[in-house]
Order: sequence, then C-alpha cells, then structure tokens
Amino acid sequence: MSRTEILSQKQLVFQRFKKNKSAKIATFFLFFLISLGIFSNFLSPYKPTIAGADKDYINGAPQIPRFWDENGFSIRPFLYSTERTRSIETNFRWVETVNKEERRYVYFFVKGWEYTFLGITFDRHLFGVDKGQIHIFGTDDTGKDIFSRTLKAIFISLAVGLLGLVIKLFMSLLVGGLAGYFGGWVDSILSAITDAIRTIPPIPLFMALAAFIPDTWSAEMRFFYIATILGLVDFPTLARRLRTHLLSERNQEYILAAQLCGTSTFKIIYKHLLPSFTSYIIVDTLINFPYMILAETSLSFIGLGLQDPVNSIGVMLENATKTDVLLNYQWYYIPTLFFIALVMAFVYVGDGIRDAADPYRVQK
Amino acid sequence: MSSFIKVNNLDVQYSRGRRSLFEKEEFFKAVDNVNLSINKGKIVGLVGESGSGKSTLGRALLGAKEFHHGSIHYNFEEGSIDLSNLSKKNLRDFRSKVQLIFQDPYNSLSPRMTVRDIIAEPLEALGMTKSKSETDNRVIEIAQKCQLNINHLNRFPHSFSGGQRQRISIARSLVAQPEFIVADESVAALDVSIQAGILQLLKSIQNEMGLTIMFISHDLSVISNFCDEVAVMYLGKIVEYAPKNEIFLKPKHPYTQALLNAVPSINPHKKNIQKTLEGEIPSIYDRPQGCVFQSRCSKVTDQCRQNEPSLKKFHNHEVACINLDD
Amino acid sequence: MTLVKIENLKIHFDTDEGQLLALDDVSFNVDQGEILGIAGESGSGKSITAKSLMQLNDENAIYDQNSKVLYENQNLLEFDDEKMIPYRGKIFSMVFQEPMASFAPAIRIGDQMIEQLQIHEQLSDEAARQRSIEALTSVGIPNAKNLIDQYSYEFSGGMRQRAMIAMALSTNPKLLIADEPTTALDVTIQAQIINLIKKEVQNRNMGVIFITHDLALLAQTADRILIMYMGKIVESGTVFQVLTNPQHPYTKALIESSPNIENFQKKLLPIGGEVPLLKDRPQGCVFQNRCSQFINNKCDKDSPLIKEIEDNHFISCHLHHE
Repeated sequence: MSRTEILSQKQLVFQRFKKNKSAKIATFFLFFLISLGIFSNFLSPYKPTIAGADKDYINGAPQIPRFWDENGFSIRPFLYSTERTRSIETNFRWVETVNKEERRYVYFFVKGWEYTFLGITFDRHLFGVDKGQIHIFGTDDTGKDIFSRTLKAIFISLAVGLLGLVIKLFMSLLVGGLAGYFGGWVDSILSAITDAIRTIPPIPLFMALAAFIPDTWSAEMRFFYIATILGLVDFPTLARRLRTHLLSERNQEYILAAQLCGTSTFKIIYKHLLPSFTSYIIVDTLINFPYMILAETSLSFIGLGLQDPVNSIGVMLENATKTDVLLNYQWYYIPTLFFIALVMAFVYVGDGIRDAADPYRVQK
Repeated sequence: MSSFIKVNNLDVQYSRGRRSLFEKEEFFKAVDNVNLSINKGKIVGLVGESGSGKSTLGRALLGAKEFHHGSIHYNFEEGSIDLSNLSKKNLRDFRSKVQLIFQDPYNSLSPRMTVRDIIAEPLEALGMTKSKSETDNRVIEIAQKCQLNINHLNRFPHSFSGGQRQRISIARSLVAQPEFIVADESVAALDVSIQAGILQLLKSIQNEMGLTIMFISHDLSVISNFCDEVAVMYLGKIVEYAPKNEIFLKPKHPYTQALLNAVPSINPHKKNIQKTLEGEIPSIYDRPQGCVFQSRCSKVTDQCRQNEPSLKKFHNHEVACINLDD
Repeated sequence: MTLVKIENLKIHFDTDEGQLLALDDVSFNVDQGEILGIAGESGSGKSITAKSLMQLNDENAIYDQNSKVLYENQNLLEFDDEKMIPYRGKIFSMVFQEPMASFAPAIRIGDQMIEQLQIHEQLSDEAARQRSIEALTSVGIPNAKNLIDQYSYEFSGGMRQRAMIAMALSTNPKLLIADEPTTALDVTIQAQIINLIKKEVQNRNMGVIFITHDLALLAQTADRILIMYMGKIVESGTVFQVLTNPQHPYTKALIESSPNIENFQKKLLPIGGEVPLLKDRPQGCVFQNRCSQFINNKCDKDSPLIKEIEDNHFISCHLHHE
C-alpha cells in the first residue's frame, strides 16, 4: 500500500493560482513595477530632486536612443546633442535644436550619483551617457528627469500606501476583532465609533485632515501623517466586516467541535476563525490598495498631500495640470500610464488570489 | 460493578435574558434533577421531543455546558474524573476520552480546513502524537475505518456529500480513541439509505473499540434499532429508563406509551396513529408543579399535580409515575 | 374522478454546467378524495414535481413542450402569471415544510390569512376575518378569535403548521399539495396533523399530494404512492401494493434500509454508493450504479419502460420487462 502525500493548504492555493493565466501575467507585471520602485535609485540615471536637474534641457521631449542613422550603424545606442535656442522663428519660445553630427553614446553600469540601498552606498546606475544627460521620458520645467522621478514616484506611492495599509489593517483587526469576539457593550461602543467615521464622506474628510498640516512639518512627518490619515479613514469597512464575521462564526458548530477537541482559544481564532477571513483580508487589501494610492495621489494632486521634494505620482500629476503642458509637453503624462498599470495589476492579482484561496469557488 | 458514568441530581439551566436593563436575569431549567447511570460498552438512547432537554443533557455530559447543581462522574480506565471540579490537566484527559458527533454535517466541519487537518485536530491539540508522519498515519488509519477515500483527504469539506461529511465527523471524534461518544441527532440530516450505512459504521466501530455511546434522537425507529437501553425525557426529566425490549414492548409511563403510539407503522394494514395525544407540549419556561406530564396525561390525578414522582426501579426498568398499571 | 393529470412532465434546469435534466417524463393522476403520496430521498425531484403544478419552480426551469399539467382539460403549464393566480392558493393550495418560513414574521397571522382570502375571493374585511377565524378553529386552534391577531413567532411549531393548513384550506381548494408538512414537527404533533389532514380530505372530498421521505408516514396516510428517484417515478401503486409487495430494487432497498420500530432486531441494509449529481446522470436506468440486480449491457444502455405488473401497480425496471 503506497503512502499518499497530503498537501498543505498553502500548496493547494498556490497550485490553483498558477492555473489562472491572467493572474499570473498580472503578478509578473506587478513584481516588475514594484521592482522598478525598489531599485529606482539604481535605475535612475539622475537624482529625481532639483539637485539632479539638467538646466540645459528644460521641458525637453523624451530622448529615445537609436542604433542607426545616415552616418552608420552603431552597436552602442546613441543620442544626438541638442542646443537650446530661441529666436523669432520660434515665437521666442525655447526650442531644442538637434545636432545630428554630434553623437552621445549610451553606456551601461555607469558611475553616477551616490545612493544608499539597504545600508550600503552605491554609485553605479543602469545606464548613462558620456556627455550631457539622457532623458528617456523627457524633463519638466526645471529640467528634472521625468524617468528618474517616475521611478522614485512609484516607490513613494507604494511606500505611503503600504504604510497606510499597515495602519488600516492594525486598526481593523484591533477594533473589529475586539468588537466581534467580545460582543456586548464593547461591540456597541466600538461599532458606534467606526460607524461615525464611516458616515463622513471620505474626500472632504481627507481634505479637512490634510489641510491641518502645519507648514513647519518636515517632509517625513508629512509622509507619516498622510499615511496615517489613509489608514484611519479606510479602516471602518474592514473592521465592520471582521466584527460581523467573528460574531456569527464563533457560534458555529465547528467552533464547538474544535473546543471539544481541546483546541486552545488562541488556536481556535488562528486556525478556524481567521482562515475563513484571511482570503477576505488579502483580497480586500490588494483590491483596496490602489485606492489608497489613489487617495494619496488625489490629495497630492490638489496640493494637500505630499509635496516636493518628496514626490509621488500625485505630486507629479499636479505639475501636469496646466494647459501649457497639455498642449506642448505631453510627456508629463507618462507617469499616469505607470499608475494605471500598477492599479490594474493589483486588481488582477487580488482577484486571482481570492479565486485560488476560496474553496467554495467552482473550478472549471 | 460501579457504572461508567454516574449523573446525580443534575440541573442545567439557561439564561432567559432580562426584560429590561433594570430587572434581574431570569433562568429556566432545561434539565431538572436528572439521575442517570450508564454502564460501559452500552449504547444508550436518549429520546424526547422539543423541550425535553435531551440535547442539553448531552452537552452537559460533554462538559460543553456548565451546570451548577448536581454531579457528573466518569470512571475511565485510567482514573475517574468529576466534571464539577476539572483541573486543567484533567480537562485535557477528558477531552481525549469524551467526544461528540454533531447533527449537522454541513456546519460541524471547519469550511476552510482540509479533511486531513480536521481529523488530525484532536491529535494535534491534545499533543497525542510526536511527529507529523505519526499524525498522518493515524488519520489515514481512522479514515479508512470510516470508509473514506484517503486520496481525498486534502480536499475541503464542501466537496463531500452529507453522508461522507458525517463520516469525516465520526473519524474526527474517534481519532483520539475516546471511551465515550455522544451522538447528537447524528443521522437526522441524512437520507434513510445513507443513514443505515452510518449506523452500521457506528455499530461496528463501537464493537471493535468497546465504546460507550449516548445516542440522542427524536426518531424512535432509529433508536429502537440502534440502542441497547433507552431513556425517555419529557420537559427536562427522565420519565422512563429501560433496556430496549422492555421499553418498546412493555412501556410503562403514559408518555412513553403515547409516544410509541404516535410513531407511524410502515405496515399499511396496521393503521395505528389514530389515537393521538392531545394538546401541545408545554413551554419549558413554565414547568408545572408536580408531574411534568400532567397536562396531557390520560391517567392524571390530583396527587400528580402536587407531588413530583421520582424514578422507581422495577428490576431493570425505571419509571417515574405513580399510576402504573401493574 | 380524476382531478389533475400530469403528463410527461420533463424539466431541465439551465445552469452554469449546462442544461441538466431534473425531471424525466413524470406522469401521474390525482383523484378527488384521494391522498397521493410521493416518496423519495434528496435529489429525487419530488419537490420540483409539486412546485410544477403551480409553476413555482425557479426561473431557470425549462419545461419540455410535451409536458402537461391538465386540470379540467386545460394545460396549466401554458398559463401566464395572471391566469395562474387562482391555481396559487384557491383551486390548488400548498403547505410547506417550514412553518416559520411561510408566515411573514412581521405581519399578524390573521392579516396574512385575510390577504390570501381577498386575493382569491370578493370578500369584505369583516367577512374574510370571520372566515379566517372559522378556519383556525376547524384545525383545532383554541381561542381563535384572539390568537388570530398574534404573530407567527408567538405560535408553537405545531400551531403554526395548523395555521398554515387553515390558511391553505380557507379558500376551499380542490387540491392540497403538502410538501414535507410534518418533517419539522415532533412525532406526537405529527400524528395530530396527519389526523387533521385525513379528516379534512374526508369532509371536503379534496385531493391531496403528500410529499415526504418517510415511508411509514405514507403507509398511515396515503392511498396511493409514487416512489421517485433522480427525477423518475420508479414504482407506483396503492400503498398496500408498494409497501407490502415492492418490486423495484430501489423500493425494496429503501424499505430494507428503513428502521422499523416493530422489528428492531432487523438488520438495516444501506444502499451503497451515492445519488449521482445531476450533471453525472447516467445513460440508461438512473439507479444502475447502486442496484444490486444490475444487468450488464441493459441497465446501462436503455432507460426502462413503465410496465404494469398487477392491477394499477406500475414499475420502471428492466427486470420486469419480459
């Protein structure tokens, strides 16, 4: 009689997730985007702050390296040199003129500005040019490289969203858990508080809370404050769900069965009550995460959230609101594409995990 | 021979809540002054209608419902345990020796645990095995005994039918090798053809493991087939307790007689349920003084309304009635 | 006299897994003054059959075009909701298993009964109330004049079921459909309800379709029985014929697996296997994978036809085909 192997639940969930094509693609995409954020310092040729601005290339269009032109083929990609001129022919606008004779070659793993990653200082970057600067997404009105800023923005947006999420989870588990497990007057009081928060419309609430930030606060304090607001405004829904779930489930027969098996209270919560809720937490987290990013983006967009030098996607989008930009400098909108991709990736991954983790889902 | 389980003067009450914040909490007795003695290796049936208290008695015996009056005493192989004063260590031993099989196969299995984990839970919670492979082996062993497909042990309960889920429930209750099992309406939710298989399984396992079983049910036909001895409950009291033959062929208590008359016979030539017991089952909140059955009894006298009859023993047949025919 | 004739009732359900056959060519009659029992376990289709008479099945039920529910020579399956109104509470009336579920919890019992009456008959409030009180009294509810104003949760299970029967009978239906009416009741209360139903059948000469899984209950209550399995009638006949002389392997197996209080030494024989899921309906006889008398190459190929083995005793089995 051969011995049969019994797979654990996690392995089964993983197997089912792997079968879901769209979720798999979304996961790779998500990891790719997150890596862009994490390794932003390495990938960015220039400092995303004003310190790395290129004064010779203001509001410059994206520069895509090429391999070939009339002067011949080059294995090493290159860019043309540009000069800023303005004259009556251009209506006195600053215009970049391209000098096709002068080539600037792109190098990889170049030395550049210093940054620290996990405590160690590096100075290598993925790519750079021998003369001048390369701006593959163009520059903004002070010459800051949009590519570098986009990558950094992904990181900042993720970071503030993550912190907000942690705060939200903590508050939800604490409040919802206590209310649901104890019931009675504990539940009454906690539920009253969460309901009160829920009834206030979120956008005005965000705005009101954010408007309170004194100017004297540092960028870091602002960062933490924004993250806390995000968590606090968003936690009631999850807290209420958890509370309801706990209240109904703790009277179920399988909980009594576990108690009669001798299972300790902690184990009962951990093994029986929480797993039925974990998939909900995971899905809720992943699906709502982009809304956290969106909330922060919106706040920053209207100037109430993060501010320079801390730039998130919202801060970058704030710069893109002028008509001038819409008509002439369309590359300012490139970060939007990244934002959309990020949100979509989260949603698809969240769906995939929920489908894989939920044993009641009919498998095709 | 001292009995395996001895219940003395047991009262179990539930809270009725308060009418308002300012009034006292009201209680009512679901089990009222019950005395019971169960011998090892027997299958004892506990039968009654709504409000009889049979489920509550079962829960009290399991230590799942606290009681404040009376005692429940177990004589296990390794020593006795008194439910009125359970130490923490005693509680663990107790949990490994006394188990419950639920009625509802759909609600009694944790929906997000695999069957293997569900069955293994008592072993892991009580620390009865030393390694995962030892646990796995015991799970496989008991699953096979319960005729479950061991290739399906990593599935979730929802992919099994009602009958199979009940087998899982049984496997879980047996894996720790208990001495006493309470089966609370364990076949009530199953189709008759499946029910027969579960009863067969329980009987063979009881035989093999020397289990003592308390089988709680409202279904007299099942009890007549499955149990050795039967206790009849009405409104929180045991009104009659006797071996199977005695109870079903020579019932003494008027309620038992009426109950048996109400069970339809599968023989269409024998029309038997015409003579019915009149009236409703009284509310458990308003237990009358005197005999609990007075409001519906055809033999009721004034004495019945004043004094509560105690269980009198005639050989092996106990009855709580003062107006017996013999 | 025949009251209702069900002919070739065939229903598919439109589900995610495709169109699944739930009822397969079910045909039977119900006569006036007779109690027809429909017995079966879960998945047998007995409830679906009952609901078909009033077109109460779910929206994804697809009736075959040859299916007919004939009453006074009209096929009720062709009626739209408007035309079906009298058949939902007046000419046909239904009593369900869960009495708590059939009364709205926030409306008084009396108001619900009055509403029911006024939908079907032109009655003033006073007259409807009077009729309701009479109905409640006739089913044995004491002090009906006061209790009529109570809510359903104030009634006990048995009283609620009586009230439901009262409501069903208050419109003087020709046919009463009772779907597991006593399953949720205590056995002594069940006996009272059964006697009540039998008395009403006698008094009113109405027909009753009584659905249950409890064969013994049908032995005491019904005149004729249909045994259903997976949407097919496998055996039908008088209650004497089917229960004392069962011929279909399923009927026999069902009786053998039922505990009998008059014969408690009896060894219960379970029926091996499980009822297949609808989507795994086998080709040939529906009972083949659990039948002790399975004939290879016959039972798994063709569906058995209905044969009359003695006067009005029909079965659907290959064993009795020759």
